[in-house]
Amino acid sequence: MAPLLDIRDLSLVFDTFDGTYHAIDKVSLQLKPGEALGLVGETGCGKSVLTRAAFGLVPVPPARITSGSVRLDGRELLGLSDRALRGIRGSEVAMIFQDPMTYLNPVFRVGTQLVDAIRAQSGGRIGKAEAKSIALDMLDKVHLPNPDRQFRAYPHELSGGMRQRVLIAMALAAKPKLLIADEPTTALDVTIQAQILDLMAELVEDLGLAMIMISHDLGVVAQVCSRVAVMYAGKIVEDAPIGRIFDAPAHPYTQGLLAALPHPFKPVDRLASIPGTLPDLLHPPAGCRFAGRCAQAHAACAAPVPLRAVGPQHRVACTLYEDAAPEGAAHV
Amino acid sequence: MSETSDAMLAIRDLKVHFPLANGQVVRAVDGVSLTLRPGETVGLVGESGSGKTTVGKTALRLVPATDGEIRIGELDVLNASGRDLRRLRRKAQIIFQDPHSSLNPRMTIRRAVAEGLILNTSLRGRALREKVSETLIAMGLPPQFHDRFPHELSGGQKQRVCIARALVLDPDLLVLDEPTSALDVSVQAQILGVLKDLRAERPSLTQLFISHNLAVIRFLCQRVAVMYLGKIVEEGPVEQVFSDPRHPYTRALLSAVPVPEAGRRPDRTRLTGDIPSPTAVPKGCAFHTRCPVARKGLCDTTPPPRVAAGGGHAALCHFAGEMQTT
Amino acid sequence: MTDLTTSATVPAKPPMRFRETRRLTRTYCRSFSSVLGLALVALFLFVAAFGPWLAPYPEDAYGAVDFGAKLLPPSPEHWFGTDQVGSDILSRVLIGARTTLQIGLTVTGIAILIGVPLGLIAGMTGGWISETIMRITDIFLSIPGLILAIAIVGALGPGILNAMVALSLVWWPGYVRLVQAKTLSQRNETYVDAARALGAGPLRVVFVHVLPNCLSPIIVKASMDMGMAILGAASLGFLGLGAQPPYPEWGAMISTGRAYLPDWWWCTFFPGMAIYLTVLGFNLMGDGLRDVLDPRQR
Repeated sequence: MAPLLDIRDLSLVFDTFDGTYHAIDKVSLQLKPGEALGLVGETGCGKSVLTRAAFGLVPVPPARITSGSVRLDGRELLGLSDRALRGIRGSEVAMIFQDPMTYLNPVFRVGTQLVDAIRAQSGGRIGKAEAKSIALDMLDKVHLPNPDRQFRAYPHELSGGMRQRVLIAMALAAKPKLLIADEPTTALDVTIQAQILDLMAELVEDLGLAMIMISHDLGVVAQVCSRVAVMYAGKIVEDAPIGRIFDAPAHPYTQGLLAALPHPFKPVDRLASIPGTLPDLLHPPAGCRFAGRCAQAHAACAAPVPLRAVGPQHRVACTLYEDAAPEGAAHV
Repeated sequence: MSETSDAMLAIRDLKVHFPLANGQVVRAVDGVSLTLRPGETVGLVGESGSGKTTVGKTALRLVPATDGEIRIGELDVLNASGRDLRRLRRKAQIIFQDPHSSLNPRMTIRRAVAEGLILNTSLRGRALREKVSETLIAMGLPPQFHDRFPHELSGGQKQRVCIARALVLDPDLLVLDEPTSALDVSVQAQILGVLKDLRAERPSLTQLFISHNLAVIRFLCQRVAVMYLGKIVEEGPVEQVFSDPRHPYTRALLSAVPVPEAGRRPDRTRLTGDIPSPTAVPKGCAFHTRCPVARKGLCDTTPPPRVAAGGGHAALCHFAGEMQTT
Repeated sequence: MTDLTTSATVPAKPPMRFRETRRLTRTYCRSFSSVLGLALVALFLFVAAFGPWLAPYPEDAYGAVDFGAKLLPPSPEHWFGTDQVGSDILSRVLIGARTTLQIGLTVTGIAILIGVPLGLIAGMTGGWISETIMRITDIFLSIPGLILAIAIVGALGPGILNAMVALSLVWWPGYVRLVQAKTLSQRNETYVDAARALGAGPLRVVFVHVLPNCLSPIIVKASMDMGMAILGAASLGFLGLGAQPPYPEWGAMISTGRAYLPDWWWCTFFPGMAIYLTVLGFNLMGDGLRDVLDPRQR
């Protein structure tokens, strides 16, 4: 199947006063229609920047895209005008973010904002009454209790979980093909997080929506996504089906990340921690960016390491797997 | 230590209410009793608005209590004054969630750690310097860091400074208020390792570990208390509570925890609705508005009894006895 | 573009405090206008310090009269020309710088001495004490400063000292507002709680923890206020309420020179330029300092 989103060799730098900060380095990522991908990594790994850059949400300057292409449904997005990108973000790609309050205007009623958003997404083709019925329909789809009453509420009258539901409704009203969810549950309590994750899994399934869920929490991603890409210091180091990530993680960083997680239902005596800190991305190493913290690093790690297939739909960027199956054989 | 009580921290029927400008009252903590034995690590778990942080801060008198009693060793915290309060500062310390905002941006970390010693001991000059350096090095911060300012350190390093600042006074009780929530997973693992090592190094140190993260509680604590809207609804040994939860809220909480395993979990208890505001705590059992097993005419009128389940495990629920692990 | 060798050999870092200062200096010098501001202020301070020795005819600053040389246009002997009593304007401007500096420092200094403690008290206490301080501040802020100053000078009688007193009395409310707001936000920072948990009393919390973290905006405001106070004093001088001729004060010089406009423009132009450049310098410097010291930049 042709990929819905095809990011190839995307590199992005920030020009800072101290030098050039290499935030994203030659990242390639494909997403099939209807696929739910988790993009996982720690602070500063570039997971948010990657998806924002792909849809023109990173201000240029200070950012600068130095190479690569981003295709949505075969159409190149890099180089499109701001206006064209806004159109795509409204209709084909929808985004939700960590803090829902920041994305709702506190002085307008929830319903007004929903109706405005829906009309803007349609380019003004939808009338007020129709937009309202779509909005109420969407609020019902995201299981907001009492949609009629909440329609007239102001954002501060809603709880965090309800606001996130409203934003999801707003995002999905235009029937996008792709949903980008950037840490959508990080600000929420555990029981509310579980509700929102259930909702997202349900919507992805029902609407045939493709999704990229950005998270620092492998446990959260595991509940919604079928595939995970692990990022480290601006590169994707491993890309695999969710089961493989937990059962047979290949990259030493992924292994380290999993070993660092305490488990709620298993007694764990010691957690492994990853020594060292992120490399300085003003002067990134030419080879594997994790080599400086990796116990298994050796001479070959100083040269650039591409992603290689090590199993069905399982790619990893690590010199330990140099003699694994060739790239072509892996795609099933 | 007093002979009459073997508790390091004893909280009896603590109430902390905050009046709001509009006349409403936030019942942040509404009748909490909790006892920590010397050397014990107890987890206090709950969601936002449960009052868990308020309990921790009140125990150190950073927040005034409305009613109740708190003892640290034989010291009466709520009625302590002058000299007693100074002793309290040496005996009990706290570590906060955000290591960045809990360090004064204008102080080097050496100065930050020295602050407690300057205030509470007669240590000065060389001896002070050495004690500070020693503590920072023990926390994994080599000397070249000691003259840096907080903004030049990473989050994990800053949290190590905060731990050093608390431990330099050799406290008997350490309150940890979500100390790893603001940190990345790999850094969290380091800090959790530091905290677990403390138990071996200072066997008498008692820790109250406040967190919303059940996996972290499981890793670090021996006992756990679950809070909901200002009350402890279940408490007991960690393994017993996690494997055989008696309160429906604990069940829901446990089944909502994201587990680092593939696939969705089958044993799901999903709660509907949101946590009520602590200004309007529901009558009867505070949880009845979201409870899957609540019975009309009982749960919404009668406060639930405390039902013991053996081994120090108890839950505040009308149906705690009937709850069986499936 | 980056090879491995450069990143492998990290140069030894200089001691922390110097690095911090160097970083701040670098940030400051990045902006042209900040450097210009600093240069203007430096020039002003230099003139204020050495004016009497730089001036070609220092006695002209204090009322020497030479009607034979009155109202001469700018020339090699009198670069800025002479005024209606034949005094050299260059000399008067150079020597007037010291008066101006005195005014700026006194007014800003007194305003800080009144405003900062009141702001700290209002921010830390809350309740009726805070309410009283803030309402009085509001009353002062609601009356235009210059008009209030004119009223005060009117009551005290004209003169350079009374002008400074009047300006100081209307200048402090801004500092109360600033410090109170900053204190309120700092008070709720966790490190204040941490200090209390370590046993710090209220005074220690204020002076060791809160006040040092309020200094940056105070410094920024003070540097801008230097300019504004100079302008205020010049305005009073212009209205005849400040320094009295022949005292060399720029505002008073403009006031006297006004009668000779437009034909003898140099009588007003050069003191005017001096005020303009000094106020501009302090404002640009204040802007630059804000860019450097504002924590949001970090």
